[in-house]
Amino acid sequence: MIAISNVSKQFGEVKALDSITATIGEGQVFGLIGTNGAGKSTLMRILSGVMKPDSGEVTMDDAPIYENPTRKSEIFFISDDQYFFGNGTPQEMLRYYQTFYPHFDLEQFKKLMTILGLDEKRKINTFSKGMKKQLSVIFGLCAGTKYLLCDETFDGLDPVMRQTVKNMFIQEMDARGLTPIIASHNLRELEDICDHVGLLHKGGILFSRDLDEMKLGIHKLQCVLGNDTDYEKAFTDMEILKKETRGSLLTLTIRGQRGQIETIMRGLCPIFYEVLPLSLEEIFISETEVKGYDFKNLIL
Amino acid sequence: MTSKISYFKIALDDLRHRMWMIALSCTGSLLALPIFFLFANDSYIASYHRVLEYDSLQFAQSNLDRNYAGFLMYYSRISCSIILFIGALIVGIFGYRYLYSRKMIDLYHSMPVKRNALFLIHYIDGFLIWLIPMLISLGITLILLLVNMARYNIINNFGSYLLVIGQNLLLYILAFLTVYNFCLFCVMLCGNAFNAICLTGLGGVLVAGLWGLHCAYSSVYLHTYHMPTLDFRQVSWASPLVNAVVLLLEENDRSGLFQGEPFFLFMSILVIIATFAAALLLYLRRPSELAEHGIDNRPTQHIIRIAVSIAAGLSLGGIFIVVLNRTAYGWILFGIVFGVFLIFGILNVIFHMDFRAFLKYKLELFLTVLAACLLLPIYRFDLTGFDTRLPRQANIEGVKFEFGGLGDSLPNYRTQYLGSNSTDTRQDDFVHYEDTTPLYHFLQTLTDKAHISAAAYSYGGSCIVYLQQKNGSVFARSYRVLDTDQEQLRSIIEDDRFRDIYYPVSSGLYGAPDQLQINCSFAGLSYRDLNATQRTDIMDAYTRDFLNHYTMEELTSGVTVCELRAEYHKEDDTPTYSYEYFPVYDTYTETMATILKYYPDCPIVRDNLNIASIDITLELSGDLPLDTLYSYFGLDGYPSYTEASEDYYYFHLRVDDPGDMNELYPYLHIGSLYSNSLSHLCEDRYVYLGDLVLESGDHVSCYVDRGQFPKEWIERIEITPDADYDADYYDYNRYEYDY
Repeated sequence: MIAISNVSKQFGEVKALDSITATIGEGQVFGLIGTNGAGKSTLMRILSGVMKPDSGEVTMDDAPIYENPTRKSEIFFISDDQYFFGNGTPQEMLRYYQTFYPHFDLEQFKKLMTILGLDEKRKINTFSKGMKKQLSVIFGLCAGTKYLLCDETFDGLDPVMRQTVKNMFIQEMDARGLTPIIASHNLRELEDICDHVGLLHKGGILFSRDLDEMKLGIHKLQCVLGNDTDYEKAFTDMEILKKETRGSLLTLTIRGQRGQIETIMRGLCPIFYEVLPLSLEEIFISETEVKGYDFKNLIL
Repeated sequence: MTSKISYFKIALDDLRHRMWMIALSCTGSLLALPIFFLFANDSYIASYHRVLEYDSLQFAQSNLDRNYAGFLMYYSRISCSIILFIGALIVGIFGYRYLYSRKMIDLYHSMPVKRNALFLIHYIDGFLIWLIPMLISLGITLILLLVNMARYNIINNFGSYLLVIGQNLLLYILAFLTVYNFCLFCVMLCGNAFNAICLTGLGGVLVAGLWGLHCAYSSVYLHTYHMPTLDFRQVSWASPLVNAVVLLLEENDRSGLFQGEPFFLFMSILVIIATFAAALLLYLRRPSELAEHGIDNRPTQHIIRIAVSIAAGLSLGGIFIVVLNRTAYGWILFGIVFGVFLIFGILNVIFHMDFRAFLKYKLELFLTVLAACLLLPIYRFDLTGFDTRLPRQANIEGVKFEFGGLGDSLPNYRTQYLGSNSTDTRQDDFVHYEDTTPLYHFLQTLTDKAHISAAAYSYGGSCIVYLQQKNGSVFARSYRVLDTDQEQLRSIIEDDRFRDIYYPVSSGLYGAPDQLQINCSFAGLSYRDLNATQRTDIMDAYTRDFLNHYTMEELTSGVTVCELRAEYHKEDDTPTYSYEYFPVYDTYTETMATILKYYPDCPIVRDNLNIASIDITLELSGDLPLDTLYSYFGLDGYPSYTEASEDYYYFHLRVDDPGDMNELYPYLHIGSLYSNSLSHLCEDRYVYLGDLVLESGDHVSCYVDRGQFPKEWIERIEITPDADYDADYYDYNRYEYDY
């Protein structure tokens, strides 16, 4: 288990992370989502031991990660722009990683390279962006580490390859309990793979919850009510994150269980109502809007 | 899951990724040593066969041996030094370049290895990349040398060559580590390679540069400044690049290195260790996010910017001093301000990698300009009280005077035969460690007058004084000494109690020499093998004359008619002691009479200077005005003659009028002081005036002291340029002579 406690990091005047606290359990896929500049990459680099937090601590099984080779040997970090040696080939990179990760699975490496159709002897700088990403993922999966940190790794992968990579993750999780930690702002990609999501916003963590729990706890309500209906009074016990009126159609984003919402709605005798589940993207927008991230203005 | 990482494998892998450096190092080392040796050996062998044609085999062999030794001790050092410097900078900066790339640092620092281990692996790899090719090249060179030595039968010297090569290797390693470690220190402070190169270059020479500027400004504006107050080696260690050069210039021979230089060696090793420790510490503390920035460490940024800007300002100000003169204060200040402003801005741009940063830190810029400008009045008006400082007498342990700049009145017997095994323990200079009271009072008078403008001295010399203080430091000053001061000094030190430590030999009070020569200019080098009695008589006469004319006025106004060159032997006929020159002035009648007694043909005495005319020969720049012409005689405040112009012309004037001759006569020095016709261009003290034409028809070279020639007299000379004179040819010869 990785425990992040009160981690802060500042770059000059910019506060990249502000007292982040979260826990990443083993055997789950942890999705780290957030707005641009929220601090996702910074947190990933701290988790991988590249950076040292200004304050707070990141521990793995109660031992710090920074400057701790034993703990770091259980983490493989795929950065958003992975470095490969100039004029290097996958074979040369393999030799490098094998030096540091003694449990590197060579057989698996060769198998995955064949499956994905990557040539071990071809110079990496002739690979496409997507191929480099695939290669990074292969190295990450074969390094034999417990945690795999992926920073925007799915960027640049085509839908088929994205699915393939997701399957690879699932296989590795089943086989040896790999815990992928995936940072991305592409919420649709995370939605169908993550078990647990942490939402970063302006250096702070808004929430860290199981995805299912989160999806069940926030809903979109579309309804047409009678003229005298005071719906706000009816929903005083529940948090309305967003409301939108188009003609007589009222759309509300409400934090609460579907059953509770339906009970309330029935009591209001609406002309029409429908309770819909929110996509992760919609949840993200709603939550960040609440915290002052002006989504509409950005669109304009 | 635990991991067992092989550091050896990491090191090997690192080397694999630095193949280009290895290739470069191998190529450079092979070129610098074995290939260079083969190239040089061709000429050595050709020289060997050439010598063999006209000399013995033994001489040819020793010649070849000298050539090989010369190659190892000097020439190969130059080539190896180039490889060493380039190599240290390349492996230093490019070995750690991952620190400058976010992508690379994400890879390197996410690996499960401690940072200190990573640092050391890269450090050792960098060192080996230079060292191993160097060792291989040395080995190949040794084999080639061995083969050639065996072929020409000088193999018995091979052992001494091994020693030299070992010494060289030690110097190379020390110099490499000096540059390499300092470069790493700079690498850790910077966020990109360009900044690291700039910082290494600037920081590597900064202290020595500032020290040099301080010396230059002190010598220009301070009246008593004396350069050797601080040995260059005492500051060079703080400038690692300079220190590496000094290390590589270390003289070595077949007997050893660093003889008598433990401080320098100690400081060099200390700097190597300190820069390594600092680099490691900075590496460990270096935040990964600083990659791709300019210069990372903020305090360093300020220190470097201020120091380098001030140095640049003073340098530019110094250029105006050289081009104009030391009193062109407006231009000097302009140079200082402009230099600081320009370099400050450029450093800002470099540090921030942004041209818009040129005018950043305005307050700091203002303060730096102010500080640099304030330095000028500090030097000019001696605000630190440098010239008037004199240690308390109670703190003085000993006094040493160097009289070299005092003209004829107080010369010392500093010239001893090279290789002399003299048992005379007296110092070359006046050194006294007991009662310093009279000397201290004398120094007080000199110190009191230290601020008097140089223009106030129509004539005088300079005397360098060292005060050994009880705290171990040495106080050194160069005092301007008037004639009256010299006389006072003479009265103090020409005392019997100082005879065991020093005595001015021009007095002749040593007694009879073991050999005596009489130098007469127009008769060439006249040598008389005088017996002991004759030598004693002449020197006794000289001593009496000396004591009879024991005033500074006479000594400085007397005409030197000839010289006595005396050799003092300690035992048998072996010249184990020094030789001295005693000037015979025209007032030394008894000496001249005695010389004439034993050497009736001595022309100068015989003719007793019956002058028919004075044939003045001036070689001057034709376009120079009268003031500059006068500067030919070296007055303060005028440019030195030898630097005044590139073109020289020949002027000629014959003085026949007895009145004029009498007026001119007191300023003359007659004799063969400088036999080379071009000597006057290279000497500081004497200026060749022309020939003295005697009634006998002989010509005597005559000289005047710089500054002795009366300006009024110059104005009466009509000068006619000699159109046929070939100035270029003259310059060429002058160059040859200087060389």
